[in-house]
Amino acid sequence: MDIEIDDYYMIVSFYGNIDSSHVESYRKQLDELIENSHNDMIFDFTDVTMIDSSGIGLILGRYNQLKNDNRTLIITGLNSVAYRLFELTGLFKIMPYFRSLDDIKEGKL
Amino acid sequence: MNKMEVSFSATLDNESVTRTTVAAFVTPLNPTIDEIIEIKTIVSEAVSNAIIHGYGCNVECQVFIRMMIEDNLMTLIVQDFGKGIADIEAVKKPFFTTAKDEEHTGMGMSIIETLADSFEIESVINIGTKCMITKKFQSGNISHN
Repeated sequence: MDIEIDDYYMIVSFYGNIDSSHVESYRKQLDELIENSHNDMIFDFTDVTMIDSSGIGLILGRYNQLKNDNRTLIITGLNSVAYRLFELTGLFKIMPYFRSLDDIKEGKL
Repeated sequence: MNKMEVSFSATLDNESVTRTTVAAFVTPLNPTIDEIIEIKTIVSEAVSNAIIHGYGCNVECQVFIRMMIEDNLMTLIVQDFGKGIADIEAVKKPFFTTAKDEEHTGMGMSIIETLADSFEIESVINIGTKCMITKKFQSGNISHN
């Protein structure tokens, strides 16, 4: 997990596979990050192979945390299988999806 | 027909090696990248269910998986001898979870159902749970072995 903080966003880039064996450590790091910055958050999955339901739970949890603080979570860089699963779980009904980080910066949906 | 059986300790640390093993087993079917991601996701969901919900992450317990390939059809069986599921129909419903506070989405079963061609569960309380999953691979007939 890579973290970059600019003037507006906390950009978190994930790598490899996101499953039950990783979510606990991700959750701890993300909770700390959310506490220490007041920016909106971007999750970049460009370098992720697989996300299972525990990963989706991790995202939903952080979304709720940020929402309670009137902040936004933006998703980007999903592969086609992960995209289908995000659609299935209704995640795109509550959080915005951009195809790439560049699209976010240019404000293109 | 090709078959393989593996058993491993019920710890989440084994999820990744199990996923890789199943993905390697289907290599002769020339799976597409999407098909590999799909099978890896299916394995993740089924195996983490067995470890977490079947065995409560008790590392003394063993999860058993069997895989078979016939033509372009893969059958995957994930079995635990853990606590079993009281109401299979409820578990299969989207967003059903027994552990809401721990950020479980209750979507694992729906995800398997979406990505597999068939998915059946047999379960008996305090005896265990058996998940039977089949998946067809597009290019299975043109393997270049």
